[in-house]
Parts: sequence; structure tokens; C-alpha cells
Amino acid sequence: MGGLSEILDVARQALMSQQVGLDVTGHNISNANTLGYSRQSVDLTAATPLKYSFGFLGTGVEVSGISRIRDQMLDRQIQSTNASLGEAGARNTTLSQIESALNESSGAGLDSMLGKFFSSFQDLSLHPEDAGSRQVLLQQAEELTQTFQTTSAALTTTSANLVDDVNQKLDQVNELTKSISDLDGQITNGLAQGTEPSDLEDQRDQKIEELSKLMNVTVSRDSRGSTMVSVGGTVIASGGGAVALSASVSGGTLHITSQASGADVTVASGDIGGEVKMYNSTIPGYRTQLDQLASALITRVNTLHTAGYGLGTPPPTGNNFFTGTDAATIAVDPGIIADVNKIAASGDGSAGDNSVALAIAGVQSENIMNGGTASLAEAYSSLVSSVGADVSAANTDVQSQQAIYTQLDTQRSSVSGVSLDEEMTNTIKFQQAYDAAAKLVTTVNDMFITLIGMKES
Amino acid sequence: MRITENSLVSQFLGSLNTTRERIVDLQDQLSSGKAVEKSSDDPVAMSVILRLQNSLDRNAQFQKNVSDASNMIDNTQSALGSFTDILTQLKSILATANNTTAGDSLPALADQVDSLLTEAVNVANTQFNGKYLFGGTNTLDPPFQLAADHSAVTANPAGITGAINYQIGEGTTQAVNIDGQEAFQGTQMFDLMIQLRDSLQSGTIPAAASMDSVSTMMDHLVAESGKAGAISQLLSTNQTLLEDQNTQLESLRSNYQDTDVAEATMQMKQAEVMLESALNTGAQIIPQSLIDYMK
Repeated sequence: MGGLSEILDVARQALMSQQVGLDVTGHNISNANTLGYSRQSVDLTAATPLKYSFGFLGTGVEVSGISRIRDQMLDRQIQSTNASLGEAGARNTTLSQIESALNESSGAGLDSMLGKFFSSFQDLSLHPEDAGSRQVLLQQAEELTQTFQTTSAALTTTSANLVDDVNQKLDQVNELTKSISDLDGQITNGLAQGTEPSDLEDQRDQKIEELSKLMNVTVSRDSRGSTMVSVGGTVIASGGGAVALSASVSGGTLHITSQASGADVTVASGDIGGEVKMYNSTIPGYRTQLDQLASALITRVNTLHTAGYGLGTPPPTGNNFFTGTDAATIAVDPGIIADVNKIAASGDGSAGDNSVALAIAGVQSENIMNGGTASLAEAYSSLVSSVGADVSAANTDVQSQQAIYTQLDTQRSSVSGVSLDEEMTNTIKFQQAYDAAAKLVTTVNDMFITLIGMKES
Repeated sequence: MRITENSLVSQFLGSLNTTRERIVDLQDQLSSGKAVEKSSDDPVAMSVILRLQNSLDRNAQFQKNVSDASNMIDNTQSALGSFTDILTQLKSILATANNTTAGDSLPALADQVDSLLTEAVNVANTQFNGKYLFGGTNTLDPPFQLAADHSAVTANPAGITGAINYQIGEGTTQAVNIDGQEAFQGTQMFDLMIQLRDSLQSGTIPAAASMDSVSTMMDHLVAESGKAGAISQLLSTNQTLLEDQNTQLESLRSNYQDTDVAEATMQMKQAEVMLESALNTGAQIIPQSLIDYMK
């Protein structure tokens, strides 16, 4: 049977353990609002009992460790949601820019410019002999070509901005992967020495989560507790170090490459993945549609125009109306800018004939697009609505991914978050246990006094 | 489920944000008067709106074309009327000549016919809005030229024929001129007047047959004027049709694009109530914790 000093020992252990408990509670309260922090709990176990003839006698409590409360499964789900959210966000931002560049709501977009251009040809058909209506037509035609050019330039600018943005984000990625591999080194060291470096693990998980917004990473963990982060099959961060990524444009395609090996890295999703997709397929798709529109307009109007006659003696003929081949290069023929009488309205050279003006005005409702199934306006309207539908889909994706993220975050907060009510309850719990252990010390002290008093009396 | 203060706060902020977004959206709809402003608001509606807007613009252009065409054909009709008046006067001069016994007054009548000839050429060269109405498609040159000595009238060698077509509806064009060849049968009418004048000048009373010729020509002009009237009538019917279409298109566009103010206002009120109750609940619940009850 143990002596009084053993009881004192038990009380001392208890005081210490409850104090650690209070320490951890304090740490939790302090980090209640720290991003990525997981609440920690002190693991108390009963100390190894001593065997006596009458049975085992407990020897009090001991702190076996301090662990963080974290659900790795939730982390993985959040990482993948983050990637989808980042991808949808990138789509949403880029497409909204393109949508506003198309400018349809303000009445200054390509659709209304096309309408005004053909209207001017109608006006010319009313007064083919009049220089005034030719001047107005020239002005409308120049506005139309300018609108084509600005819209095309807006796509170019958006693409260029995407490259800048991807570069900036890759800088972030490179910083993150570096910190992740640094932290990983410290963590594996700590684990090797038998302690769980919870706060460092939190930091590493937080960095991985930030990274997962930028690209769709997969995270795996080995038996030593070391983490390996990879994207598209390429390891970019591990205990062994980080692999820096960089972006380059070649052949009109944006590539993400590993700086170490120079090999292409496939980034399918996340902010960067979304932007790469925009650059490589979505924007070129829109540009093709826009260019087809411009080229069909140029070809058809020029065919009709070349066969017609302008004003003068002899009436000028055989002139093109437009130059250029696509939305970026379309312009009014310089000859026409210099002399509006070269605009051909007449089909036979007589000043009052308007058959060519009428024919060109009629191009507005001719099905010259999409293999003869759509007019220019219809083809443009389908471009506008496909951009609109894409924006709207991206919006919905952002919202739904955001909702999933919020849901997961609430779940994680439920598991790992600090609840102040709980910590206050713990404070009371540890404090009371501490009080009781202290009371035990004074009781044993009294018992010692009694014992010593027995000898004196 | 374990609910932490932070999840309470973030959920509160999340739903507050959703409500505010809804309010901003409704406010935008109410202040702009448009429910669909960008394609992404409603891509399907936007493509319909664009199509309707296109049709509206084209409709406006057709109305303008029709109005120009009406002016042109009305002027043509009144010019033809004036020409008929001239022929009526010619007829009465011929009647006077037939009743004349004294050959002396015939040259005076010849002078009258000569001035009618000048007038007739002027009418046939009527200009409207910078166009010679009877020049066919050669609208910049006078279709008829009276020789300085009034001995002959020649037609513009470049031609006085050719229809001018205006587009007055989707796929519909209408000729809006009557060319000189058709209206005055080339220079026939002028030739007859010159022949009558010269005959009077020489003291010969024109034969009864020439009286008939004048009558035939008058009939022809009345018929042409009737044709112009028919075109004018057609244009005016078309104008009414275009205006009706415009009203229908406009109301369709409005259906697709404009804000239903009553509904939006109601939704706005709802959203305001939601915002208020969210703020109220948040302010009451969030500050409460166990600490309030610890001594």
C-alpha cells in the first residue's frame, strides 16, 4: 500500500495535468479566430497502477499527448470543392468581362451596329444619287468596322490578362509549395521524435487548402506523416522539396510547365485550370465565331458591291467595300473613304438605280452564316446568348460550389472549430479538478500534521 | 451537431449576403426598368430580345422607306394631274380653233399652245428631293429637253426608263416611280403639241383626228395617275400594317425585357423584411455566450 507521499504525488500529477488542460483551453480560446486552426485537446490517461496484494492501486493521471481534432476526409472534400469553386470563379470573372465587351445592353454592340449599317444601305436605296446618304453610310460602316475591331481587341486583352493572372497565381503556387515542403520537413522531424506538431500541421493544411483553390491538387500521406502534393500526376511539393511551375504561350496555347523538367503539367481545374481553359478553348471559340461573322460580311458585301456602280462619269465600278479578312482586320476600303461616290448603289450605272443598295441591305436577312442556316444577326445573337449562357452557368456553378463549400466548412467547423462555450465549460472543469487536487494536497498536509502530532503527544 | 461561434457568424454573414444580393438585383431591375439587361440574366430571353429589337429596327426603317415612297408617288400623281390639266387646256384651244372662222386668230392660239408645251416639258421634268421623277433610274438628268427654238423635244439619251424599287417590308419591294417612257409615251405627247402648234402657226385648223389623239393621251394620263394612286393606296395600307407590327413587336419585347414593376416591388418588400429579421436575429443571438452568465 502506498504512503501519504504517494497521495501527494498523485495530487501533484493531477495539479499539473489540469494545468496543462487549462493551458490547452487557453491556446484554443486564443486561436478561436485563427484561419485553419483546429482545436486541440489534452489527452489524459490514468497512470500505470501499482500492483498490491489486494489489487491494483491507481497512481493518478498523466498527460499522454495533445492532439488536434481534424477530419482528413472533410479536408479532401474541401480541397476538391475549392478546385471546382476556383474554376467556376475564373470562368465567371472572365466571361463576365467578355459579356460586357459585347456591350449588347447599351445599344452600342455589334448587333445594333450591324442593324444601323444595313439601315444606311436602305437609306442609300431611297436616295442613291445623294452624297449625304453616302456620307452617313460611310460613317456607319466605319462604326461597324470599329466595333468589330474593339470586340476582337477586347478578346485579345482578356486573353493577355489571363496570361498575367496565371503568372501571378503561379507565383503564389510556388510560394505555397515551398512553404508546404518546408513545413512538411519540420512536421516529419517532430513526428520522428514522437510529438505531434499540431500547429505546424494546421499551417500545412491551410497552405494546401489555399493551393487547392488555385489548382486541383491531390494530396497523399505516407507512413512517416509526410505529405505529397501533386497536380495532374506531377508532384509539386513533398518533404523532399517543391517543384516550381511557370506558364508560357506557344502556338496560341497556354502551357503550364515544371521548371525542373520542362514538362507540361496538366491543370484541369482550380483558378488556374479555369483560366487556362478560357485561354485555350473558350475565348478562341468566341473569336472564331466573331471572325466568321466578319468574314461572311466582308465576302458577301464585296461580291455585291464589286458588281455595282457608283456615281460619276463614267460611274466607278469593280470596287470592294470592305478590306480585311476577319474581325480584327475588317475596315472600309480606303478608296471609298476617299470618295463616297465610289459606294455602289446602282446595278446598271444610272444614278437613280438602287438595285445594288437594296441587294446589300438585303444581306441583313440573308442566311449566309453557319452553312446557310442563319443570318448575320442570328449568328451574332447566338454568340451573345452562348456567352450569356456560359456566364449564367458559371454563376450557378459558383453559387452551388459556394453552397457546398459553406456546408463542408460548417461541418469542419463543427469538428475542428473552437467553441467558446465549450472552452469556458472546460475552463470550469479543469479549474474544479485543479481546486479538488489542491484540496487533496492540503488534506494530505493535515494528515501529515496529525501523524506528526501523534508522536509529540 | 456541435455549433461553434465562427460557424454561427459565417452562416449569418452568408445568408445576410444572399439577401443583400437579392435586394441589389431587384433594385437594379426597378431602377433600370429592365429585367433582362445582360445576356447572362436570361440567355434565352436575350436572344429573343435581340431578334425583336432587330425586327423593330427594320420595321422603323421600312416605315421610313414607305413614307419616302409615299411622298414620291404622291408628287408623281400630282405632276400627272398637272399634265392632264395642260392637255385639257390644249383641248379647249383646239375647240376654239375649230370654231374660228377668221384664220387671223390661229397664230395667237399657236402661241398659247407653245407656252403649254413649255409648261408640259417643265411638268415632265418635275424634281422631287433632288430626283427627276420621270427620268426612270436616270434621276440626275432632266428626262426631256426642249430645243432652244422650241422646234423639238428630245428624251435623255441615257434613257428615261427603269423602275426605282423601295423595300417596304420583309421581302417586299415596290416600284415607286412611273418613268417618262410610260407616263408620256416617250416624246409622243410633246411631238403632238409641236405638230398642233406648227399647224396653227401656219393658219391650218388641225384635223379632227388630232383632237382624238389628245383625248387618247388624256385617257392614258388618267390611267397612269390612277396607277400612281393605287401605289399610294398600297403604301398607306402597308404603313398601317407596319405600325400595327411595331406595336405588337414592342409589346412582345417589353414582355421579355421590361421589369414587372408590381411583382418586383412586392419581392423587394419581401427581401426587405427578410433582411430586417436576419439583422434582428443576428444582433440578438450572436453576442450571447456562457461568459455572460459566469461570475
